[in-house]
Amino acid sequence: MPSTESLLDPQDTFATLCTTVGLDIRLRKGLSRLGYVRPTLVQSKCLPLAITSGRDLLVRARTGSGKTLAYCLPILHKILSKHDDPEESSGFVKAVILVPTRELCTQVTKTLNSLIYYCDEIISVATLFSGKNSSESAFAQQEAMLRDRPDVLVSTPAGLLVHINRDGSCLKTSLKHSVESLVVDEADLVLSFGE
Amino acid sequence: MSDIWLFYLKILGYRHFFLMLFEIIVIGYANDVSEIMKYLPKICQGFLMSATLSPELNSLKKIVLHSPAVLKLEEDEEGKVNGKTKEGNLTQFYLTLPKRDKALVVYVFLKVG
Repeated sequence: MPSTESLLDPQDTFATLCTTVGLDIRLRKGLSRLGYVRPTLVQSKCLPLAITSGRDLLVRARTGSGKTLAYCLPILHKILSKHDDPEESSGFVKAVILVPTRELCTQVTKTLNSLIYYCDEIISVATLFSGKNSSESAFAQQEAMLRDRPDVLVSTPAGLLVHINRDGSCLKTSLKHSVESLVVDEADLVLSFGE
Repeated sequence: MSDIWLFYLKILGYRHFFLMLFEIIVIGYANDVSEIMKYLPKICQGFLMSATLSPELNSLKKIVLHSPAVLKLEEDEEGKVNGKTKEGNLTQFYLTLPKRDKALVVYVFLKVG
């Protein structure tokens, strides 16, 4: 008979991990609403390092190992903790997430939006992926999203550059003054680069 | 495909051609990221996530991170730590049961989970 305690370690849950790192209650609720019970290895290693120590992280883990959650939670937590003690800053963008393709943009945005279910009046997410070839209307639509002062930007590097170069000083100053976290995801998955 | 690429393809062969393309692409991506870094504050927490740590990533690493904590997660390690199954711990077994008890035992297994 397999012993049950080797299979189900009660310490190895998101609840314990969240208490250890002191994750914001609204994110905890968001997590449990999504039905996440057990963190993956990359999550249980990343969260303490990113949240408690605040260090830069270089993570190698294969696709599907839960990397997205491992960086989304720390940056959302940071935004929420700063939000609670109001300090006027001149910008609005607090985190930039760079991914190689627009499909990944959509995917990461979806994850973020489901995590902020209980604090969506505080945090807003915008997706930018207009490359050189994208239509004017799509561009205008993303410009409008930027005017809503999003806290988190999910973008392809090329897409963000287009906006930086074409947008007035607004996005530039905001980036310079308020960004606290930068993520480069799937840094090696660059074959679809260049849209 | 333009003539210049065909020319490269001919003289380099497929393998080298794609290696070269890959390099161009990686460098392009790194350039875009470093361009973006100019618009960001000096102090911000950086995350670099990747499925591999190839030497090509070094340039990106230097641009984005300052004395980072490096996490390298191996697959076998992951299986061991995450599922808490050390080699040989995952076992199979069978029970010999009279026919009338079979449904009951299955029910108990499902219930206990």
